[in-house]
Amino acid sequence: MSPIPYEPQIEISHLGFAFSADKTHLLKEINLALRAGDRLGILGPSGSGKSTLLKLVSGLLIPSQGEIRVDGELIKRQGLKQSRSFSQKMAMSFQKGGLLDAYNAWENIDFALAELTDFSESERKERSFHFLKQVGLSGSENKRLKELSGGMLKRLSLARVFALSPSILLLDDPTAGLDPVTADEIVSIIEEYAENRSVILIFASGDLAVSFRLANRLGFLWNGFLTYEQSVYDFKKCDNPAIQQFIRGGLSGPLTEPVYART
Amino acid sequence: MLELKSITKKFANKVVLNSVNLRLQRSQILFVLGRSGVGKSVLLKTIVGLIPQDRGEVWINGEKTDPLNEEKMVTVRQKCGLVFQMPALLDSLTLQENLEFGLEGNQKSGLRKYLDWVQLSEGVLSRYPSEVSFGTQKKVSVVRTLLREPQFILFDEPTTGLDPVSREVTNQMIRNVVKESETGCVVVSHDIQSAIELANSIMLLDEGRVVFEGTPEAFRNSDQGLIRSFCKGMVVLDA
Amino acid sequence: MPDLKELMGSIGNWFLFSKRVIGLFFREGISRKVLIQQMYQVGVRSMVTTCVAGIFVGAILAIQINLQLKDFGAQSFLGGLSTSTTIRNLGPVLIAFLLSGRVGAFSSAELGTMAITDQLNAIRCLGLNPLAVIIMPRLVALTISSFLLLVLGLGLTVFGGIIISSIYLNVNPLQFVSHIPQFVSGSSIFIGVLKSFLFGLIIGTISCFVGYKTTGGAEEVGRSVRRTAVVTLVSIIVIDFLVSFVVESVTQLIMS
Repeated sequence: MSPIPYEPQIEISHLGFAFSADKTHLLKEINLALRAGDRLGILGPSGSGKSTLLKLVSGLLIPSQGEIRVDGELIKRQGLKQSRSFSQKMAMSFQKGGLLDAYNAWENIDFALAELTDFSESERKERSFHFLKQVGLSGSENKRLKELSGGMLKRLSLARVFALSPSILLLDDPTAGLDPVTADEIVSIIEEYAENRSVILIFASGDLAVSFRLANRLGFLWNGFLTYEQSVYDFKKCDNPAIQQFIRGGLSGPLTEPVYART
Repeated sequence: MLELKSITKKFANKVVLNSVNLRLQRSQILFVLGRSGVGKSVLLKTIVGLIPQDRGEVWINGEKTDPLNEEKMVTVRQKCGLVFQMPALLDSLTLQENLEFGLEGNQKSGLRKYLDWVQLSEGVLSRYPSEVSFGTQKKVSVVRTLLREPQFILFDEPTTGLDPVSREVTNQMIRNVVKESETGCVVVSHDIQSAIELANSIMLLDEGRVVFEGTPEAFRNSDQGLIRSFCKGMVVLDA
Repeated sequence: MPDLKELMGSIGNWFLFSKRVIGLFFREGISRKVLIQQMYQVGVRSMVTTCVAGIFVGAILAIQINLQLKDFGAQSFLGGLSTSTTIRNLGPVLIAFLLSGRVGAFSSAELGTMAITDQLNAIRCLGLNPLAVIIMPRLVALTISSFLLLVLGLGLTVFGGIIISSIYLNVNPLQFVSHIPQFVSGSSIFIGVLKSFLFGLIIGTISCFVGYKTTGGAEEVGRSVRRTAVVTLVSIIVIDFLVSFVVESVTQLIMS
């Protein structure tokens, strides 16, 4: 079932989030409008809330204030039960894991398809194998997760996302822990997928090279605010001291190292 | 001097290290690069005898190591420290206790100096590992090794998982270590940027073999396919 | 089911491991501070559970024995027989079962986690021997704590017997206690204490051995915990049988 051809839209207004009522807001005031073809890379120091922001868009977390609308539909506040059509629009890959140990490679994709789509059993299997091939995992379909290397696990996460043919892709650090060559291959796979499709891609990354290559818009998340530049070029040139410090690395600037664990 | 001669290691049917040769003098920094899973960590563990090699020899200061003799390896490890990628601190002890673990009294004197090198304040030391950030834990694990004042230090991906700010602190620390204590450092890393900035020499491993060994300039200018792929990972700021 | 060769191999490895660690204890000793620290972690926290278990074990066995004695009209001997049986056999076994779950499994999980997160390797890289600085204190503390807890538990079984007898079985506490010296001979106490020591040793060595040998990921730690529990329980039963058998046989020999 391919999605009805349409142009996805995301609108985030005055979004704020705190893990519990008495804690300071991790995200203070985020405003964002995205449409098909946007590839937003969210950069920022660790602990700034990149993963949290993705989870909010996906509906895994509920905003403390403000609202998120996907195609005009407000993400409901009552917990994780979204309309099925909503869940079918987006797919998310996680920084660590997110895959099920109990299943092998193709079964991981099959599981997601069974939950979220109406394909028949044979269609699902065919689809699983197809997307494993797309990401370069032919021959590994029956492997168990512990037989797969870090790079292969990332590819599998992507295959699962792609197989759901979402209009909105949320990728949490898709190249975390990978060497530059493997990371490059992953980026190519993502680019290829997004190429001829009307999709919105939002990804969080700690890797500048990956972000510069994959994104056509970049945002810097820090202190609860998203500084949002319209292009990679503008981002590199902007005069925000935190962003400049982040890009160049180094100690001179407003960014400090996190000392304590994030509670 | 730290020297590896034809180190070979096989796991199941896969050759992870294939006749690797390496030479490191004190006060020198060697970066070992390569794709993930290629055996870089295994190389470090082989040097300190955690994973005995199948063939080949490790020489430290003119003495050959005997990885099967745990007692002898204890002395080797006092001369050559290994800092793991994951901090590997003892969860049940405070950071202070972790640092002092197994130390004689007179060795504790360098603590202040080393804490400065990694930009860590003494106040944090009363906490437990689970209460501090990953970056802080990594710093403590480095200081833990520094306190033993080894002649060589092996770093397993010291900047992976760190913010750009922390990465710079780590690089500065490595510079200090080499300059002040004349320690020889082997750094296994993905971080091309840091490699180019810090290394006296760079070694590239592929499929267990050394496919490049030379200066950072030579690395940057090389036209080997694999090296070009690696260098793509460097951020170009002026484009 | 593990095959016999593998089983013998594991037993051999366990034996060598235990010999090495215990050897380290005798050669290098242990600082009192470290020992007390470890014993607190392991033992003190299990005291309440052990006391409760001891009381209940004593109560259960008293009820059981009472059932048999009633038929013979020999209830006055309840105290002596119940205490004797409890201390010689079921008491040590049941309380050791409890401890292997609470104390043994915990230590095995802790050491297993340390093994897989390279903490033990990191200690090696500092030029220290993890067997001496991490394993040995834990093993010694586990053994001593388990032993003391077992003895404590056994002592409390008597109270359990007294309480249940007076409340439920209509046996006067004084009467309960009066026949104890008659039935609970020196050899009974000796067996109880000996078993407590051996079980303590089993709990200590097996949990440390299995934990230390863990490799892999979180799944393996879980497997190690399960293995510790099962192997400890089986070993306790086997040793219980052997000790009882040997002591009875020797006693028979001496008597005849």
